[in-house]
Amino acid sequence: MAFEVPTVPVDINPVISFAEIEIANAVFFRNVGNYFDYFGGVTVMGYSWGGGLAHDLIERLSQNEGITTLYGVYLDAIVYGGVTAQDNWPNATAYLLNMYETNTILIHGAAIDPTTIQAGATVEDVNTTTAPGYPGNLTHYSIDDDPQVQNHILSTLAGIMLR
Amino acid sequence: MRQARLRILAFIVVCWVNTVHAQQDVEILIEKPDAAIQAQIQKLFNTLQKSGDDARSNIDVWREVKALKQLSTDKDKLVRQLALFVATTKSEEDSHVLVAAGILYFLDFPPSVPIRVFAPYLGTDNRQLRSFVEMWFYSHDKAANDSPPLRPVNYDDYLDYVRLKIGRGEEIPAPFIRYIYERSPGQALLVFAYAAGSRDVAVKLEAMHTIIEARKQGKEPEPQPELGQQFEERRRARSKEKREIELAEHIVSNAIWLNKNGFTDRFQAALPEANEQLDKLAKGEWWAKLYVVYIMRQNPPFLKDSILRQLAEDENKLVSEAASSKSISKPR
Repeated sequence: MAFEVPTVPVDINPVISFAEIEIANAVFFRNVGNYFDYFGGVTVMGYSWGGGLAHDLIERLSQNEGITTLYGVYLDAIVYGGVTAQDNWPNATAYLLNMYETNTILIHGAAIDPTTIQAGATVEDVNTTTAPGYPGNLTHYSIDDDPQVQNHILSTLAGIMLR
Repeated sequence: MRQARLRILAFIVVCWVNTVHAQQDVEILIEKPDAAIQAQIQKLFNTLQKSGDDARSNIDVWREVKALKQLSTDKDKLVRQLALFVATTKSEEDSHVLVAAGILYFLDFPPSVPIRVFAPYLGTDNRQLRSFVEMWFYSHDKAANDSPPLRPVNYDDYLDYVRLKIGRGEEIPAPFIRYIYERSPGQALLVFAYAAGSRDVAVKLEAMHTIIEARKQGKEPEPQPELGQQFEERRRARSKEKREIELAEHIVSNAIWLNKNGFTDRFQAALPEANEQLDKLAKGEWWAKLYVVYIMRQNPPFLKDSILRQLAEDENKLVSEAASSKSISKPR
């Protein structure tokens, strides 16, 4: 499906707010996300500016709703509306998979700053430019289409969450 | 005459010992000097002084900045070494303090780095280091008194810092706590109210981590509904407490605003409810009590001697000291 890449950061706060309310409803009223009971949970994924938004949404869920995200994914994440890598661990995420490349000039993700990670959290950094087993030539514009990248995101999800 | 000479000599020795001692204190306080980094900071410092009025367009400056960054990938270490340079360098009218602030600007590190490194040195006895550190915090949070209404106070990064410290079970430096309360008691209260559940979150993350690791190793862990229930109860309690604190802060800050802006009648009407909230907070967590002390000290219409006397006896040292002290001023 053709995807139009946004070049101007629209005011996406209403969208995040909507997602926040929907997720909170699902957790509190539809019994979704109880990890200790049946290994369910909340997963938030985002690519590029979406990765930056994933950070913001996870933090809102934690701050406003007290929801701990089980699985977060940054895919070549960029701070929303900016050009710098989103390298902050989002409070509070049990497992953060951070996949990024370093081939594209300026616009690419980066390893998570270890000083921002809370005790008990797990962070998996994968730089597809240097990590063995990944095509080293992925760019910001092709990383989301790569089957290996997609498989790794999904297999990690399946390994963490039962439903 | 000989006695006078001896006195002078003794005075010189005492001064020298004090100076050396102070310098050693700072060095122990921060980190041992790294000769290569100190030399590169000095080189960058000299280049900046010669760079004219537009250092940002000067290629020599950028070359030296790059060379400094190449000496260590540890950002905290570079900033600590810069702090040490500030504390131990002598210059005319402490001009090196301003240039060092410029070096920090060129290093372009995220605010989490200077917050982490500088927080313990707010209020240090070393004058240059204190100026340097305060300058950075002032320009970062912009929480000065009477700041223009459209200029937002930025305590967001302080929240991240406090949250991590509480989550990791680490002590938050007392000078930092005093600083954020003095500058903006309301924002400081919210920082602690939002960060209060961080230890619960860390415990929950560790419990989740154990299950994730077990599943990775092919085991099928047993469900633990009781544990899930405990976390849920803690979450509900924290959420309720947070909302109450948010409301209390809003009521008090609204009353302060009415008073400050000359809405006397409305302020008189709002005062009883604000006092009620302060009474409640004075019986709460230590960080809520500290808020009450700073609000009362900075806003005389809210001052209640009975509450301050009670808080002066508090088991938390920060609270009791602040409540006993007469020196809390309006935010700078």
